[in-house]
Amino acid sequence: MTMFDANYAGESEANQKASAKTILVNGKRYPVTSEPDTPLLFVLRDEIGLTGTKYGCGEGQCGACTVVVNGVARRSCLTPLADAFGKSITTIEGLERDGNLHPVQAAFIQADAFQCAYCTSGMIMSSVALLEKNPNPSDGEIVAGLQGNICRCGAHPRIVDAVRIAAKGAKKQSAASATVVPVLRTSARTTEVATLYSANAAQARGTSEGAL
Amino acid sequence: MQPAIEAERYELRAAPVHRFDLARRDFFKLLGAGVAVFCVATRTTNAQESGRGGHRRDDEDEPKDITSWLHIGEDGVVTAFTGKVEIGQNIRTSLAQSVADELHVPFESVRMVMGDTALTPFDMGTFGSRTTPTMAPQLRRVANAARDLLIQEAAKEWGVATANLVARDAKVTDPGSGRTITYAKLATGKLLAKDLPDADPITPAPDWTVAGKAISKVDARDFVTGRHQYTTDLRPTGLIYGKVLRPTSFGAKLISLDTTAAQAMPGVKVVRDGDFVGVTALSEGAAARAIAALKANWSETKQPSSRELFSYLKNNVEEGEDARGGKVTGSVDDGLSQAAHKLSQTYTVEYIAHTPLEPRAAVAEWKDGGVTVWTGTQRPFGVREELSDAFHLPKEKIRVIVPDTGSAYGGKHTGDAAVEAARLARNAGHPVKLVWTREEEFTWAYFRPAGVIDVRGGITADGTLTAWEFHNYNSGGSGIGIPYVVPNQRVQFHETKSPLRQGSYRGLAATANHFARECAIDELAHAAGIDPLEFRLKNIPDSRLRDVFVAAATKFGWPAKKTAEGQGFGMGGGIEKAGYVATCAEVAVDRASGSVRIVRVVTAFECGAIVNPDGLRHQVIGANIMGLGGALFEAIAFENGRITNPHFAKYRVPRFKDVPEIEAVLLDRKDIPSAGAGETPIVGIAPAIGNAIFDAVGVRLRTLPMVPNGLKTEQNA
Repeated sequence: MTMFDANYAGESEANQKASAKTILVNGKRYPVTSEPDTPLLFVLRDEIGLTGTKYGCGEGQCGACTVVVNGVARRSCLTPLADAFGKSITTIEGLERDGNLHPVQAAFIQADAFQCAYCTSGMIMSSVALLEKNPNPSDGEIVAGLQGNICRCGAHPRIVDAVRIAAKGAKKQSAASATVVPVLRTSARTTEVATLYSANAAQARGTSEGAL
Repeated sequence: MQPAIEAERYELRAAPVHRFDLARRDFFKLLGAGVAVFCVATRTTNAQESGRGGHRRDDEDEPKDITSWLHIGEDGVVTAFTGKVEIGQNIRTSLAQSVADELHVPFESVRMVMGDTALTPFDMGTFGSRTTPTMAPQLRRVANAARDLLIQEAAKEWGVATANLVARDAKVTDPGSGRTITYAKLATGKLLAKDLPDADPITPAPDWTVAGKAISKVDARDFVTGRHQYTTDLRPTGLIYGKVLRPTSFGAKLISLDTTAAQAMPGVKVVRDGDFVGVTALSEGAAARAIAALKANWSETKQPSSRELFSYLKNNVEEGEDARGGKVTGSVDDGLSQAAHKLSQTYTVEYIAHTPLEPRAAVAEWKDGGVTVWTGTQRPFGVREELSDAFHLPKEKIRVIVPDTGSAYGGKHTGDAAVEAARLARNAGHPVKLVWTREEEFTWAYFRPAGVIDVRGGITADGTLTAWEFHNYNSGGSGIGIPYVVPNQRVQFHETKSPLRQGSYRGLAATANHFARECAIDELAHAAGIDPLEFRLKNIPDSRLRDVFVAAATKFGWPAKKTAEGQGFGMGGGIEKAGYVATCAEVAVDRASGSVRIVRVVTAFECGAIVNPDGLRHQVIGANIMGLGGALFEAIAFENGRITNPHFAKYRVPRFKDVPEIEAVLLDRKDIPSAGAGETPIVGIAPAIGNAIFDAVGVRLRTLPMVPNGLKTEQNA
């Protein structure tokens, strides 16, 4: 047995003795042995194995680690384990019920509100907390409610769409619209510049009017 | 034919030496019986993404130049293999669309195996916007060959000629007799392998049925439920946690190290290997405490700081200037002497960080003298090479697997975390996870190169460009050319020493080069009293570029009437990596406070035939939002070998309140092969904003970022 293995066994025993404490996550009680000052994020991810909650900065700046504690969105990276005892914690894994997605989860899929999706757990948890407090938020309130969550891929407009959809069950309506303009012109290179400009302008104008 | 794409110098690395190692006979063992097609690169097909077509060995069992392949199983599941990786650009979806389209199977029956050095063919890396123009057609050719093979099998089965048989909806039909047989049935009990014929035709875009349509990200449910496992989420049995002791400043050398206190901690192991020092422990927290308990002395060297950055770059031009991007036509001095209005300006760009939300991370596990590393990288085969070099291991002993990754933006080309985790794991005898902290991300990764750009230009009274001189110091050569007609030109990129480690970034230098050029053009157009759109349409010879300017301007409502104080409108655009972009922006500037708000953005983009309009919209809008950060406020601050703002609290990235009303106009040219779209849409936003600020308040901003602390005006100075 190596030095390392001896240490490993030693700490495990010590941990077992100290394991009287439990935390309540997604309605289930988990025994925990981490030090009370351990960030809840690491307890969730490494001790309990719920890795849906993400590390993004460890500084409460990015919101990737957002969980809901007693109905309030909290940054689990800045929440010590000691503060989680006796409270009800909901993580991204706790939203799905009997195979049915939470309306916010379903809305994120409907709005295609992610690219790499690493921020998605935190975005969804922040949105869930926002909607529980304010079931019918204005666009400004959605933006303010998500201001603490960073998305680096630039899915913001679709995330706002998703929250709108979840709030109202409304039709997908986008602040970030896109128009696809089919351009079927194969003789571009031979066309006179002036003609091309007016033709293009008319074509583009026509299409955008049609789209609006 | 696509124009040749010039790779950025930062993306150029040593020529690949690795080739695919899995023997063809092992292939069916892995996947079961069925039909397989291999895309084998030859000199004539030039199919290999690495560009190295030759060196084909004669060993038929082990083709070394396979670039992609595909398997159809007895259950009808189609598995396509590529060394490309998924980093949020959604190629797992778009490539599957291309395969389904060409093979005529439902989208849902295709799965992609990506970025695994033991399973997928060699690939140079996922960068340079090359997946769509190179890998999608390769997979299409493979799928097409598989379809032909299935038709041949059906013909054999029925004893008829292949000519009349039709492959559709995952089955082959004989219209004469009405007989059908599914692909799954045809694959059953077979071990059929085929190399791709040299020049198999692929379906032209107007005939696409699955590609060209909006299809949402595959596995979306896994992402909204937290079930998807990124590298940082992996927890193999026996996992312990690693952490690295970082030097006190860049380039610092370790003089002495006292590990006594750390090694006394339960479960902690310390590794010292040259200047590399790291620990393993039973938890993240324990690893951090062990690092804090190390007593190290470092010898530092004096280094440049942010405030002297631009003079440093100008004064440290390297010998043997890079000729790529260098171009001289006519005489700039002659051209300037013919000009009615002249411009001579300097533009600057700061270092910025990628800040992917998933930090660089790796999980490493040693077994039987070999190592498997899971890591988020854009270059799994490059990382394998780094591991091979670091541990003097043959590549057969190394496997690099890339789980779908929490973004990269050009920032994850290297294998730093992979090598570190592997080093720690070798010592620990356990699998080790290493996740860089955000501060490590901001400090020990690499940055988008800073730069200085000197521009001289001349224009006649009627708005004809007569001269153009453009020198980029350090930031790079991509997008450096001018897409306007100018008879007298000198355009050059100058390599310089860089105070910070620098590398690839989404769009790389094209952002700075477009910012400088499109702002200077705006300035010249104003000097001649010509509307910026009219000027562009008059002087741009490429109709595709004119098209996107017209499309953006039309949607935006150019020229727009000002309705408020401090309101301004601007545009910018260009051609890069075979994509065409134009952006119009509206800003609102508050002269008293200096605050600059982006009110509205319209970006038109054209990259040939659109593979997935929804994914493309994501790329275009996402690039604009990301580009807004570098345009307005992102800048790395450094002082004598240290980053002084290595936190989100001090390094501002775009947040929800910064995001304007934003629209994408996507021009679909089904008559032109698809180009990539991950980078180019980023280049128009900075000049559009800069020109809009000028339109609003008459102030020309020539630095990126433009307003890190708000706009300085007489009122708030």
